[in-house]
Amino acid sequence: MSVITISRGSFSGGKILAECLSRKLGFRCIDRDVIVERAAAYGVSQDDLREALERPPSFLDRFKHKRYLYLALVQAALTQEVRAGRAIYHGLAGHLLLKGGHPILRTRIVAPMEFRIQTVQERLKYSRNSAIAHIEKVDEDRRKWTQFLYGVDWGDPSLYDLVFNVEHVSIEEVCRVISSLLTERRFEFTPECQQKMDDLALGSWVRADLAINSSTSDLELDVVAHDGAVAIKGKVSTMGQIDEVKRVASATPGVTSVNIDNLAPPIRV
Amino acid sequence: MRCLTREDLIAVVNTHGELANQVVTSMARAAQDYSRLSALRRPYKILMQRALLEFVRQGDVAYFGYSGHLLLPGISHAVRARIIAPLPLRVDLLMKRENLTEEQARARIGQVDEERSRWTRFMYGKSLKDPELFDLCINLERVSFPTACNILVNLVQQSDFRATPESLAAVENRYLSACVLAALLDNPKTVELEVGATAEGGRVTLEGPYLEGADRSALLDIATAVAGVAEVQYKEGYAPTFDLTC
Repeated sequence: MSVITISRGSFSGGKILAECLSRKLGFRCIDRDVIVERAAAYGVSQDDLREALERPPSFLDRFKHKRYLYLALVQAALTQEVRAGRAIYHGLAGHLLLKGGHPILRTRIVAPMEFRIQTVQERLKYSRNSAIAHIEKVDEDRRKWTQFLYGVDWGDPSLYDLVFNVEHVSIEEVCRVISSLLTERRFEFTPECQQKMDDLALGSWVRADLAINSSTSDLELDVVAHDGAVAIKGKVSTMGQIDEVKRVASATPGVTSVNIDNLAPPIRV
Repeated sequence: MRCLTREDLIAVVNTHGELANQVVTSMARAAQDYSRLSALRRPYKILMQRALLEFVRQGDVAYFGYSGHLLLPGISHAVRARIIAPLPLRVDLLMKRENLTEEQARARIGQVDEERSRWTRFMYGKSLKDPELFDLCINLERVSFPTACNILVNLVQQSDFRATPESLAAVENRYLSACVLAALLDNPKTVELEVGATAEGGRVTLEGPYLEGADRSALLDIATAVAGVAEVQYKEGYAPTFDLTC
C-alpha cells in the first residue's frame, strides 16, 4: 500500500501522469474535485472550498478564519481518501497536506513553458498571449498559496522525493520509473508507517470536527493524534470552550482519550 | 561507463596555461577581482565544454561536477540529474567521511553550497536549484542511494535517452564548434574577438561583429586550420558568444 502525490505547474501533464500511474498500478486517482466533494459533506459550499484552494490568501484576508476551516476540511477529506493507501493525489499541496512522516512518494512534474502554452491553447482555445498570462497567474497564485500557508517555496525540489522535467523525458517514461519504484515496494507502508498515516488522519478529522462544530468553530487549533490519544493545542475564547473542545474531540470516531493540557484559557484583564 | 569529475576537466583545461586554476583562484576573491574574473569567464566555459566533450566522444561517461548539466546543451542522450539531500544527512555523511565535528561539517557544507550557487550564477547566469535545468532531481531524504542509482540506470537505458545517430552527430558538432572557439582563444590575433560558432558536419558558421578584411581573414584561417573543419563562413550579426542555452 502506498500513496503518491503529484505536484505540478498548471498544464504540465500532472493529470496525464496520474492517469498513467493509475492504469499501471491499479491505484485510485484522486483529484481536487474528489476532495472538494468529500469535504463538502461537512456542510459547506463546494464553490467556497474551491476558492479556498485556488485563491492565494493575503495578509489582509478578511476571510482568514474561513480559509482555516476549509483547509481543515480539505485535509480531513484527503486523509480519508488516501489512508488505506493505493492512491494517487494530483492536486495542490498534497505533499504538504499529508506531511507527517509517513512514506508517501512526493513527486513533482515541471514542463517547459512552450509545452504548457501549447496545452493551454489546445485545451482552452486561448491565444498565445492569453495562455501565457493564464499560466503565469495560476503559477503565481499557487506559489503565494503555499508560501503563505506553509512558509515554503512551491518550486523547492527539497520538498519532493523526485522532480521530473518532461522537456526531454516523456510522461510515459516518468510513469514507468515511478511505477517501477512502487512495484519494487520502495514506498510500501510498513505497520509503523500505517500507524503514522492513521494518526495524521485522526488528527485531521478531530480538527475538522472542531472547525465545523458551532461551539468551537471560531477556534484555530493544532491537533496531534497517536494511536487514538489526541492532544490539542491552541487558545480558546471562553472558559466554556475548554469543555466543548474536549466533548467534540471525544466524539470523533477513533478517539480514545483527549489531552487539553496545552489548551490556553482566555486571558483575564 | 567512465566516471568523470570536475577535476578531470580542470586538468584538461589547465593545459592552456593554468586557465582553470586562474578562474578557481579568482572566484575565491571575486568581490575584489570582478573584472579580471569576468574576462576569464568565456574562455573557461569554452575550454570546459571542449574538455567534457572530448570525454563524451570517447564513450559513455558519468560526470559529477558543478555545471555538467549546462555544458551539454542540445545533446539529447545526456541525462541531467541533480541529487539533493536534507542537511542532517549531509552533515552525517561529511562527519564520517572527513572525521569532522558536527559544527565543522555544517560550516563546510554552508560554505560549499554558497560557493557553488555563486559560481553557477556568475558563470552561467542560472540558479543551481532550478529544477527546470535538470531532467530529474532525486531527494535522498527517503530515496536510498541504491534506489537513486536504479532510477538513473533505468532512465539512461530507456529510449528517451538512448544515443541516436542524430544525438551523436550533435556531440560532434558541439565539439567541433568548441574546438574552433578554443583555437581562436589560443591565437593572439583573435583572442579578443567575441564570436559564436555553430557546426554542421564539417561546416562551421562563425557569427559576430563587423570585421575588417585582415581580421576576418585571420579568423577564417585559424578556424579552417582546426582538425575536422571543411568549410568556414563568417556572418555579421548578433550571436551568443558562447551558447549554452539551446
